Amino acid sequence: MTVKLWEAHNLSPRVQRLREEYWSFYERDYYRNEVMAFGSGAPWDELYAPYNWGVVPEVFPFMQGFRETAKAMAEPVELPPHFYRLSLAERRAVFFNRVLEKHLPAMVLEGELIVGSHFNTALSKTLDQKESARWVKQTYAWLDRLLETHNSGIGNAGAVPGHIIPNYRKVLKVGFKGILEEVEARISRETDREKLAYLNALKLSVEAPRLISRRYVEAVDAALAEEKSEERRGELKQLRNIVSRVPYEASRTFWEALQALWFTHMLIMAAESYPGPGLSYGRIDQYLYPFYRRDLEEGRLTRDFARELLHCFWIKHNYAYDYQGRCARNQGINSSFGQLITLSGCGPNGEDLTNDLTMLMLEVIEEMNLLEPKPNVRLHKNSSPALLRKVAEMIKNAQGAPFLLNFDELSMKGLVFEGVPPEEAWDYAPVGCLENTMQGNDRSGTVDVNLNLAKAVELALNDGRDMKSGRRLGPATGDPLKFAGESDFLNAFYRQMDFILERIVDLASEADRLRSLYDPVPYLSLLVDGCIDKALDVNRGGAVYNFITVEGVGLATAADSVAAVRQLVYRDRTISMERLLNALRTDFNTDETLRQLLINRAPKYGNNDPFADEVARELSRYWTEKVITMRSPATGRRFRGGYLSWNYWIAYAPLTASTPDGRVRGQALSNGVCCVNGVDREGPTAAVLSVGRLGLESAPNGASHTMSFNPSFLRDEEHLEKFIAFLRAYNETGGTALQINMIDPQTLIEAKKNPGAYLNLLVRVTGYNAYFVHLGPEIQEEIIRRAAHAI
Amino acid sequence: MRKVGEGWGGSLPSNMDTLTATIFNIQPMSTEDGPGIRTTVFMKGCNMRCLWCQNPEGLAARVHLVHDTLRCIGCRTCLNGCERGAISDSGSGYKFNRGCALCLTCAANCPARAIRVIGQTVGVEELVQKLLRDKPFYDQSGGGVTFSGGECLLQHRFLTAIMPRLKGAGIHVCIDTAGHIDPPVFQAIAGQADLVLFDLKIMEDRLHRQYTGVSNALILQNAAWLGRAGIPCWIRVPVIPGYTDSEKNLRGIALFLKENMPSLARVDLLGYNDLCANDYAMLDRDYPLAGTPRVAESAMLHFQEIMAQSGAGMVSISNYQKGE
Repeated sequence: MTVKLWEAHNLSPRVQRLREEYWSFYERDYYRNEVMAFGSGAPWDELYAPYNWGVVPEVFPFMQGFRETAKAMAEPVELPPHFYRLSLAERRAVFFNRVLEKHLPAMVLEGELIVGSHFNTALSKTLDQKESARWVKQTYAWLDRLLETHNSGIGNAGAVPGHIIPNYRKVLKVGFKGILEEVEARISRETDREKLAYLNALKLSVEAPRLISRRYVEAVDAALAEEKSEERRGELKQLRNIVSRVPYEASRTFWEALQALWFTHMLIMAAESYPGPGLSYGRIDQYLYPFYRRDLEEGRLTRDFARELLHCFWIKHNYAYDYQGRCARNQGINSSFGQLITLSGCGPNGEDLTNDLTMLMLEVIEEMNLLEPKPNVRLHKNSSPALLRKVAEMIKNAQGAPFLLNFDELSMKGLVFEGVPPEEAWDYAPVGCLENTMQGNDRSGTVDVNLNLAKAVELALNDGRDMKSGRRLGPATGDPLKFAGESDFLNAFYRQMDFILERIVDLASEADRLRSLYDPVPYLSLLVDGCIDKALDVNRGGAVYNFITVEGVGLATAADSVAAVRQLVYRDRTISMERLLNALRTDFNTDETLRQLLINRAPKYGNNDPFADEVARELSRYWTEKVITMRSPATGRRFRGGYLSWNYWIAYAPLTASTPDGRVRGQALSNGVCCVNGVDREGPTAAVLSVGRLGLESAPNGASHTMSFNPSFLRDEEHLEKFIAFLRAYNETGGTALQINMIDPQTLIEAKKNPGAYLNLLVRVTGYNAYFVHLGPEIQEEIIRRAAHAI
Repeated sequence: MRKVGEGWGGSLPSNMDTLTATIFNIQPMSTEDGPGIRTTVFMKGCNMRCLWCQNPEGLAARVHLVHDTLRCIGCRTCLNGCERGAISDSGSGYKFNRGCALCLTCAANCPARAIRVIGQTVGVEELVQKLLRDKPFYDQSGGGVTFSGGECLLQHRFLTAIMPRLKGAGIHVCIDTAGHIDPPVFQAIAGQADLVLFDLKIMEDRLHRQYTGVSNALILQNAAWLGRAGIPCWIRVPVIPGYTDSEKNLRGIALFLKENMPSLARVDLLGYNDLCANDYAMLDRDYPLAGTPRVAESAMLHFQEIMAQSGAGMVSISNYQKGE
């Protein structure tokens, strides 16, 4: 083993046991948080919505199977009389409450200090017969469109749950009781029947947290009846007190606040039937800090007990993975759900908000060595030296993987670009991985749409047709052999870009429409500012800020391709269009010389090359500035751009023809805003400067940038300081988000060969961390290549 | 006294009298050549021939070509395109014979970048612009630019011109030198630098001549001047097993430093590595130290202790075999 791998440490025996219990999926027959389906019992019942999973191509072939399985598995829920006379939102609220009251198991695990066991559900859509028929027809027609768009390599889209920061602050402050008062006051001002029905659904949903409290009081009582240890009995009695109060009442202590958060959070996952992707906490070190400080000051809490509470809180989130426990060792890219927490960051006047809880949470992350909750640390020009030092040390000790870094100044510019008032932008937080949103009032549909930018190159060079099938996809922009010059080529490229953008936005808009009509989530809507005011569900555009984010994939591949054609074909005239087209159609099989020319002689983004960087910037600005003008007609949500690119740089590799940057069909596309792997000859500082040149404020979602460093880069104190300075300079010159892999290629190669010895090895992929040995072989190879190219 | 550039095998770059330099690499994000994050400029030509030379492509002052067989795809564009017929296929890589006029056409046309031009000519302004690029990184880290080599002081006129330009732009400038240089020239340049990285290798002159090709007299003279003049300086000692790593030698260096450079900021002990073996292969040279083992951590720690007696502010060790 070449490096000392990051592993769990400093855990109490209780926490150690709880952590091991989590990892023993196959052994814990008494408790698995696997999906439980609950149906209406009607023959037309539907539980599975393909548009919720429209961005996960890996599951496309299984969707019909999931649909049928969920129906067959569903435990029927007894419904009140005249159920179908209620509005759909009211039906959802009533149904959900029934499930919580009578069906969803509630369990207290040995020794745990935060409770709440089962939350993975598949819930009935509670449609009546007519609605169901319409829904099925429209949804499956949409699915056909999705498959066509995906298979043509253009991209994918869905209406994805999660990916939001609920107003947890408010829950801690006023409890659901306070929210109920707000709903009632709103009802008293309303006369419209439809709105009143919706407000009634919200009111019914306030029952959910009370029901869960009741269930867990019973569960704690059951545990108490069995418990012999006086110490544990004392804890259980305290717990009983806590769960009986929160989250309905406002929280009074740190412990209550953590329990309130977990109940509130887990119920959202249950209500949306989605195991957590992107359901994020926002600035948790800020809103929990007053509880923490007061308890410490008043002697109710020690720092060590706070640590243990956080350990227990942390473990709960990982049970989301029981969702796919049966395919655990082969989770591919899906090994990260992204219940994101945000730490540190600036205040309204640019001041640093790092506090002792920030530091304690960083320690907890280091000690737990678990995937969830995923941390994102906000840095800015006034970040405290102590924070930066801790961050650098953790990157050193944990192969770079414990968190993602978000850079405030540029991120805030992006939010102002989309319309957030400048005086509010400081209190933003990312969801999922690095997708910037506001807290508690914003559904930005991050990762709802994924667009393969490199496809526009293929279409421009083939008159709008797919190069393999010959099928027409985009407009006929002409035979490239007849292009009079560079501008004809560029026109063709941008027209094809318009086409793929419009196509993907249409697909997303239809998913958004279907969800807005058939998928209200009143429980979540209680927690998103704007929904009560407007008496409008979060899925119908009820939030204050409503966006759908288009994540661009393959930016550098597209930019390098455009730059290569412009430079080598039209400016230098060193290669003819004819030769280029022949080579692309035959995947360079007979013209390796040309491929080498394209790799070695064309300008490449990522090297601070003025021409290539300008091509990339122009491309990025073009589509991001266009997309922000587009809207989803059904909900009025605006589209916005970003670069997460998740795993699609692998998924769309075989569906994208060979490209003029010298990439052969099947080779990975570029990811996030990274340059094409291996072309960065000018070193990491140039790569950072190129990212900075993109003008990323027009991509408010933010952009994934991954850098790999050799561990020797951080070998001693002196180099640690240099690395901290590098991060400060990145904040000044680079992108919105950075993830770092600090690993040598030898370790990765060994881990691929001998996974058993490397189960703990976490790496960063594209905006998220994952256990290396759980990744698919293509992605493993790609990460090894990146590490080999590290400084 | 030897004159600059008269060391055996050395010759001055042909462009010595104009304000251009011949360099063979610009390395951004360098973290090993002085404080902070730096850009290191490797200048071509050296007047010493240390057996363990880590940058053999910097030895010759003139520009030359090498063929990288790993990158070559065998398209023969170079062979067919050379008007002088100066390239031949030796069976184990291409050779460039005396007919080569350094027109560089072959390198420019090679699709695979398999013909590397070792050495490029660069003007003062052009280089300043390149070096300014990373200023945000220098500023945040207390870094800057380091001129290394080869022996950068062989191109002292270029340094004389470029150093004030860089310093005027607020950039910290280091020179990294072996010190085998005419003292007036040495003093003129070192006096302008913000920091001098100065190599000391062997104290016994007989061995110094044997392993580096030159006497250490000038080197020690220049080092002593640095001490007297109080120029900020880091001493760098390559720890080469069998050559520089005797206890006697290291104690000799420590003693010299204590006597001559009482306010020395720092000594770096740099363990031997063979990362340069590939470069020798590409240059078609034998690597004299092939098979030499890396230095063990315990040995480095011992040497660090010895060097601490020099009274230097800090003694760092790097590049050794961890554990036993």
